Amino acid sequence: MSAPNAGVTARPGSSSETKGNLPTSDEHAARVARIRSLPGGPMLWVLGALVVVSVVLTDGVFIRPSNLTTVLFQSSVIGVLALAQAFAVLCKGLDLSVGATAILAAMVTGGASSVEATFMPHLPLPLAILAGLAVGLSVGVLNGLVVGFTPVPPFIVTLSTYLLVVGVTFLATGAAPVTEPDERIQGFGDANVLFVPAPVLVWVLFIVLASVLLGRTKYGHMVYAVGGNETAARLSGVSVPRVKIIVYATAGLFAAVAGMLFLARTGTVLPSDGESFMLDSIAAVAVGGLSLAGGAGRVRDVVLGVLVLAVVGNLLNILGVSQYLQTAVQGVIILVAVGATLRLGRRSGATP
Amino acid sequence: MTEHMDSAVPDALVRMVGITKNYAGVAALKGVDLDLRAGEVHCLIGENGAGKSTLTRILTGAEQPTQGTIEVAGHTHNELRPAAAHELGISAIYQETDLVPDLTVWQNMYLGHEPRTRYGTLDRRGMRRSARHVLDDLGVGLAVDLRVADLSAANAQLVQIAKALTRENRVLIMDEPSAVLSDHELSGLFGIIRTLCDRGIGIIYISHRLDEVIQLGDRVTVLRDGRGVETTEVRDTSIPAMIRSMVGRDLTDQFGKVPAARETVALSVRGLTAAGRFQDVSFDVRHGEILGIAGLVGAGRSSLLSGIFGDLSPDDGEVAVEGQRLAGGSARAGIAHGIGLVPEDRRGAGLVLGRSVQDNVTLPSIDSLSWGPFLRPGAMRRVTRRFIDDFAIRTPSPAQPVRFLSGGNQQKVVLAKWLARGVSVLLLDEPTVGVDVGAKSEIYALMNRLAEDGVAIVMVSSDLPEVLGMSDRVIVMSEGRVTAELSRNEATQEAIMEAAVPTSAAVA
Repeated sequence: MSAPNAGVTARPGSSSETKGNLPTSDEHAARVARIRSLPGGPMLWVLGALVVVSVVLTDGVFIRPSNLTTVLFQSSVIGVLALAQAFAVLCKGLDLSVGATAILAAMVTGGASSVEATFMPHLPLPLAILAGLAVGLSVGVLNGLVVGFTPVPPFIVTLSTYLLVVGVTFLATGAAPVTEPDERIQGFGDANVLFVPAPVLVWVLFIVLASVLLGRTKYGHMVYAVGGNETAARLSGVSVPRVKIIVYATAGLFAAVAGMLFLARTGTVLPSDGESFMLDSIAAVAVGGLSLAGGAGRVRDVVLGVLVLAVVGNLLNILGVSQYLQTAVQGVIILVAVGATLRLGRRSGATP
Repeated sequence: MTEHMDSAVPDALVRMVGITKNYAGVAALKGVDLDLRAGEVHCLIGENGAGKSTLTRILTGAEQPTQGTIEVAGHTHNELRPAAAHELGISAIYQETDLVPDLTVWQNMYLGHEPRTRYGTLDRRGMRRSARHVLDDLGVGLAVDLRVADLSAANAQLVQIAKALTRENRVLIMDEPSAVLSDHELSGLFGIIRTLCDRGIGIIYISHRLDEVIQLGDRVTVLRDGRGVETTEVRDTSIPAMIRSMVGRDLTDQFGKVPAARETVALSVRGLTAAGRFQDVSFDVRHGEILGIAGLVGAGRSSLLSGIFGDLSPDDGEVAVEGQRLAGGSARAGIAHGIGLVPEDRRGAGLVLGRSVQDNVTLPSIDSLSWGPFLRPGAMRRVTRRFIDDFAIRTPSPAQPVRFLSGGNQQKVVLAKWLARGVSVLLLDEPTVGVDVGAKSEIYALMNRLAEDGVAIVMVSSDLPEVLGMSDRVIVMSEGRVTAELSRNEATQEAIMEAAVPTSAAVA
């Protein structure tokens, strides 16, 4: 996609003047422009600063390879889920069903591959995985069809499918957990490739996949167009319903993958698991700086959003801060991050 | 007025002195002076980016000046805040309305200063009655109980003007009020503006239409690149002189019309009908021909373009391009047959404002700029580059979000969008609304070039000089029907207006 317009503050069409003796409001604007044009973007520097602070506060515990691996490992599920959410958000939507879809997909794959008797008929592992992915895809396509062809807002549509999926999950499983999935699933969760946990590699794989889809294909081109201005996209020949169906189908598929990573990590899954998934995915996307108004943001922003939240969570864990306080801190972080993003964005985007 | 004031002009309502405004070190205004007398229409003209909006925003308190003073009723301020400007009776009417769509006309007009009954409840009856009174004064026969969301853009604008009149305003700023008004509605507006002046209200009137300045203005101030070039009495100036001051050079023959119509028909419309919008419209447009469609706002012209394009499904009739009948039903059908639409609402319907010039230019032709599902960045850059150079689109780079381009350059991007794809029919809806004088002639030159290349152009416009200057042929619409078809020689302002005004309204 297009390069970021780092540091663009000049109004087009107006000539510049000498920059000496700027009044204070201009010094502020210039400072904002400098922050925006930091190499790698401001969020990367925030993450860097957080890492430094964490190293100092934890006497180096944070930077130990084992701890870093843990941070990444724990981020992989939310990481993929946030990518799913990002598709919907970029298309000026929202997907409240990603968390529930992830859990249902995990239960289906886990149940079908389990050595014990479960609600699913036993299937060979590849088929069990396909079944889980198919569940995610179906929920996504359902979301996409309704969002694409009816005027019901995505928030309401996906709220409905979220409740639908949760209900179906409990009905189908009788609220029983799935344990003992195929041992290869847990084996995968525990596997390392060059000291990197396999789930992290899956996350990286899907980061690349999402980047290619959004940045290098005409499909991504249209997602940004529809998210930015649906009317203009339609009048330019974009089939808006088709784009939305693809967007929510992708989100559903990514959610299913996240569910399987969760299964691989924990080895057991309850219908009541993943309650925080939906909000975590929205939080990561928001902290990363994606506009909930759609049409703006990059995959790297989403990844940074996930990592910032993960690093803070890990730091507080090491410091022994209570879980409740951590949740509260997370709330403050989201507010501060989104506020800062908007401030930076609006300042530079100001046109008289 | 014998009262002594410390201002040099005794009856000045407002005096802005040495106003300078910097944005991040870039000066938008450089020491501009402006004074407004009671009862005058003071026109403010200049190309886009000249600083007109910034200056008026400083007066309404929406922006604070970096330097300079604002004197209102003898008191000098270093800056105004919105509330203070309100208090001083300064009010502005912008192109983009700030009405609440879900409220009715009268609720909007009294929003924020609702009169009370003696029991302290809202005086709904009183509000409705005086709202109707204000609208009647304006010559607007609009039901006060309509929801604003259901109004046309033109009527919403009129409501906004009416809303400003419900307050005790002494200074009224009008930012291109004529952009969405037809000539008929415009003469009504001019009448009311004169009434307001008689009441001693001072009006700052921003417009790109210089004939309005001549018709309406008492004095005119020209801005160029953030400086006040001159302030003169309107009777001492002329349109060419104003253009010279605005662009700093002479512009001879804005239109530069080159007849280029060929024999072959490109677009053929037969009996096209959409209930409640337009009825039984038929015409042909030849390759290289520019067909102007004139009429009042609400005559069904924009809907007709949507109907031809396919975005609006017609109830009856047919459209054919190069002899091929259109399936209709979606914009994709029109595009597939080689039609391009440049909508009136450039920012809302023509462009994805937050995306780059390149993303916008390549959007309709993305299929041919891809290899399977994958984009071809090199090809996309080349196409964009070519149109930036060819159309002289002023942008720092192809990656610049179109939000930051001027109106004229945004319009060039919309045109480039369609030409990058290659069209044989181009539908233009008010192609130069909100475009400054210099860029206007560039757009006319582009239209001439396209016509010479054989593109058939259908142009809806409320700017009569533009219709007369650019069209090979003019059709006039009134209340959804074609009421006249005029050749270039027959087309005059009088002939067009005669056909455009609905017969019933003409009596009224």
